[in-house]
Amino acid sequence: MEKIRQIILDFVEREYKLPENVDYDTFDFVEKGFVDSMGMVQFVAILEDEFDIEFSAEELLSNDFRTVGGLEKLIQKKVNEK
Amino acid sequence: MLSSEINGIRIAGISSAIPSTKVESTDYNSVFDEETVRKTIASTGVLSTFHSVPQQTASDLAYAAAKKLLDKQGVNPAEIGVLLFISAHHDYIAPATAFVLQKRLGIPTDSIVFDVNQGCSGFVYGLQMGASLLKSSTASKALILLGDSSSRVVSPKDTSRLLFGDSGAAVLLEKTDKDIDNMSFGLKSDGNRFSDIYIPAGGFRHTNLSQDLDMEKDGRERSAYHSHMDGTNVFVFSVTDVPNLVREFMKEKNLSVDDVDMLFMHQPNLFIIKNLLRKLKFPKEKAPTTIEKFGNTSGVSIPLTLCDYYGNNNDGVKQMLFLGFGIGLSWGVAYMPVDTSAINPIVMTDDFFEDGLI
Repeated sequence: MEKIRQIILDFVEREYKLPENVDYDTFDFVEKGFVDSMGMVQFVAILEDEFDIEFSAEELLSNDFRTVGGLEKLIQKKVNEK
Repeated sequence: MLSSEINGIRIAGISSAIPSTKVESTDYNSVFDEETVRKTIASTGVLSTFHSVPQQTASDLAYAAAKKLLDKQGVNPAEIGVLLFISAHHDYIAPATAFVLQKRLGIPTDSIVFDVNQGCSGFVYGLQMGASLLKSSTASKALILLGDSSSRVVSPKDTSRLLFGDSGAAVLLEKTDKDIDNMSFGLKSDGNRFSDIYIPAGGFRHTNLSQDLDMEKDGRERSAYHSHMDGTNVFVFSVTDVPNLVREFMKEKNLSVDDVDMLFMHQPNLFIIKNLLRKLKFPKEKAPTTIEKFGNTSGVSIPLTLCDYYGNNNDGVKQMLFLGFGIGLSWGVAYMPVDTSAINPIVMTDDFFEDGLI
């Protein structure tokens, strides 16, 4: 889980300046505008490449895809299912 | 998936045209802040686009491509029995722009001539419609014309402006008696998502709307006459529905990656292209890209990439897979042999039609 979280955070923090002391588990970085649709393109590509998984349309549009905590759980679940 | 098989029709030639004004993506540093431009270039791969002069329409670019094609292939316009103009950017509200092109090209009256309002899937849809019309009529040759002037419908305050370029293309289809000339298509459309990419004003649904720019929820300023896109929905569509269609098509046709010499796909942005190649397990050597130098040119992107790649490089007959997807939403895949010697170099033109009416 730690590796997954680190990869997600590396991307988000490299590309976007997030507010300090944010709770990554619940912070909606899409709604708050920190990751726009173009950023999503890169983000999904990086995550799918790194973990050799493929997200469905439902997963990409789900609330899980909008927070670090949700994403972490989603990726772990998909990695376990492989 | 709507499946379609058409025998005895082949692509007899392809030409494309672009305007001469080249806009470097970094030219937008003076419009948006440099960091925004840097990120947009990084996330789209677009380094430059080509923009029409103000009087030049999508049909002017398609016309230039068609003239070149007819001259190069030695085809008399009198031989053309089907003319389709596939574009979301027509010259007039009415009549269809195809009639203007018919007049300019000298296509005879014993013909079928009409417009098809399609965008990024237009090349695949156009081939299917043109081949179907040839197959079911006395016509022996069809001209499928495509044009796009997206630079004209994107707000000047929208960073999508970096993405879109203008261009036109012409494809000549003809009847043959060879068994090898077989076209396979897989097509899908979803009107439930019609507003994922749309221009609200300019038709008869919403009239008297202001041309003023308004700040929208994505932080960009547009008017109702500008293109609107739900970026997240369109991205999700591109990386889920689109590869699923290709898989369904290849399974139904019993095709593997090895059966495809070359894949020419719509050029929406570099990350989506790379994502699709990875999902479909196509090596990048089989899928040339032009998004870097022409940007997203909607339905013209496939023939434009063909002309860029083969215009000066005859490589014999290749089994090609074409993949178009976008506004509608609409997506389609096609598989067929193409003689690369019939693919012409890109034409550059700023010419336009003066109708003399107003």
